Amino acid sequence: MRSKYSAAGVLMVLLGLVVIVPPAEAQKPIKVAMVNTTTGGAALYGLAGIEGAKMAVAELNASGGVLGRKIELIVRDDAAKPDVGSREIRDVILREEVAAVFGPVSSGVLLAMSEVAKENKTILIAQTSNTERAFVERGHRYIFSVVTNTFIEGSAMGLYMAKKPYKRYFVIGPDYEFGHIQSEAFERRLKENKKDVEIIGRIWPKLGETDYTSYITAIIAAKPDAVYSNLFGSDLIAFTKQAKGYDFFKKFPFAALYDVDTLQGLGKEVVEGVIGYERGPFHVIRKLAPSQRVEDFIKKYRAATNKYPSCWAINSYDAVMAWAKAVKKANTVDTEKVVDALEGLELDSLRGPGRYIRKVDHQANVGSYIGVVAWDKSFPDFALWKDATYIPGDKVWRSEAEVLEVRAKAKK
Amino acid sequence: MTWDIGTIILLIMSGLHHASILFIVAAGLTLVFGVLRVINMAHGSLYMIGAFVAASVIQQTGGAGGFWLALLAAPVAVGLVGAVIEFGVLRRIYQAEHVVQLLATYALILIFDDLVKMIWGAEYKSVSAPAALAGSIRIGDQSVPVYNLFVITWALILAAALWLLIYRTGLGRLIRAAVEDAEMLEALGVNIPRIFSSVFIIGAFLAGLGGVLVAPRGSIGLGMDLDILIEAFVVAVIGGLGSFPGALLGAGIIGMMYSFGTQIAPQMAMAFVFLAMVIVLIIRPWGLFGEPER
Repeated sequence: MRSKYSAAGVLMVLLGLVVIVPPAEAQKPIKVAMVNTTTGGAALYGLAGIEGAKMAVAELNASGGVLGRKIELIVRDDAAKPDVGSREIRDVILREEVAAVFGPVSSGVLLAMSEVAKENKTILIAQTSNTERAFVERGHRYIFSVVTNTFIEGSAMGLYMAKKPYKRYFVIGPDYEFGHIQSEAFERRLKENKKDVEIIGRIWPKLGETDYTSYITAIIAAKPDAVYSNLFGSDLIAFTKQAKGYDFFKKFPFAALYDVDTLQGLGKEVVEGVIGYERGPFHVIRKLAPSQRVEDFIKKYRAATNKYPSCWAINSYDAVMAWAKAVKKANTVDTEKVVDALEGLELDSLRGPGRYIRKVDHQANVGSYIGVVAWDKSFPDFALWKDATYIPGDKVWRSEAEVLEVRAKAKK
Repeated sequence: MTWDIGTIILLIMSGLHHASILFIVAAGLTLVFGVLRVINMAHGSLYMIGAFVAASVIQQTGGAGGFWLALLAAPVAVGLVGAVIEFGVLRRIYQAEHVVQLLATYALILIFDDLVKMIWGAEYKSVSAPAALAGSIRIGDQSVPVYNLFVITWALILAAALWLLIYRTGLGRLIRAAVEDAEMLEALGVNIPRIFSSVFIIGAFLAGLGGVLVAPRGSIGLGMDLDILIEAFVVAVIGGLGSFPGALLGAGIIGMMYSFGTQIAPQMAMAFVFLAMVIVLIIRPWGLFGEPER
């Protein structure tokens, strides 16, 4: 292990840059880009988002494009790394001169990309990454969110769990931006609505942890009344399977991000009775806001990918459609005018009506879906939820005054 | 929390279980380094491929027999992939600088990441342990998964088998000699390329075996390659790169540090692990059981 290895390290980072070459330029289309994760552990979300965005673009182009021009979608991989994300977004802005950017998957990458968008005055619409800090503390004119942000998501769960009788909570989440600040929002709303609760412990396994046994035994030893988690995806699958053997779910009520991908991944290993939350589960949307449009989307998505759409696909579709609607409303692709059109825009969201982007933090009024994991006899593919509810964004998000206050504090 | 006997047993079991997987994977990494003097960055990729092959075998065959078949088929399949790597890539760069070898095996990580995505897709796979291993047993007032005990047993059997292979067989004697001085061995007329191939295939086989064993208890997906690579590397460095007993001890230390560390100072568990590596490197830069470079 001598010094030549560190030189190798630098070269490796350079080698890690995977660039997807954009298709050849057509006759004056409007270019937009999606910078999302397509390699590594988060590729599942990134690829689903790209599929959703592609479907939106195909639909727009089939109906004659926007302002009579076709839309061209450029796709780039951020490799879930902030430095790669900011380089890619800079590249699509400067070299491809895109009108807007959608992405990314990771909240850490979002914070980095947001700086570049601000500097270059280019619209960036977040559809998967959702750290509230990108819109409140570090919010600016060009960043928008059509995804349930960490504050809304954590607060909705705080409100939901406050109705339960549990008093001593244990928190477990992934050790990065999203895990920590979403838990903060949860704890705050839980304590506001239930005076005698106590958080007896918090543990933060690294994102992508594969062995949860030591965390599981730590929680068992602490004997909480209930366990709140924002583990998701492959981490949550591993946690669930490993915790089962310890009779964990017989001992503690448990809530986590049991989204469509996770339920699909767990298959028959799923645990009925745990509480799940998500940002756009198709199976709840089709019940709470049924429409032909949603059914068509599910059908088309399945035809293209042989899978059911996750919320990442649905939200990415919504992100592209929100931008297109704003361009039509502004009747130009001029960034400043499109930003004005996006502020206050009513989305034509797959998730249902009533979703608009508010001006103060550019956050869409999109809430959190919560339900209890259970098998549905009419749906044998994988377990879904029962007793699903929807807590709208504007029921739990920060008031405008509070957004300004938090922002002012951050500036000091 | 309370330090009752049940909790302590629980922690020891969980530490041993973690150590078992780490040992199996790190043993392959360290064996390859000891003989070939190549740090195989793609070792984690081989582990990932093992898990994906196991998932396919289990899903295709269904039934309880699938897991047992996978336990055999996946390591063999990964061993074959190892043979292709050794023959196609490594054999051509043994004489090159370390940095070239690192870059070549790092390139393999990217290639395998894409290949796995092409063959299996990006979505998570999840398979179940056979019914006989699915339950849990009671120890005091705690439950411990039977599967964890199975993994621990398997690691012990494997440690014994590897020991026999290295210290009690002809191939083992040649491997030990190659660790000492490959050039001298070649001068004596031993077919070194064949030994290198055998060792690399054994290393790949071990990575594949690790992959099968984690398959039923985690999620199988992209990204699992890098996580295990880092941990296995820490284990190998603590034990001494190239040392087989070192891998056993290193895995035990790291497993227990995770298990007890998470209990005592959850925020610091990871830091403890790297701290252990730093301390070992300061006191014995060649690792606990390693030997200084000549």
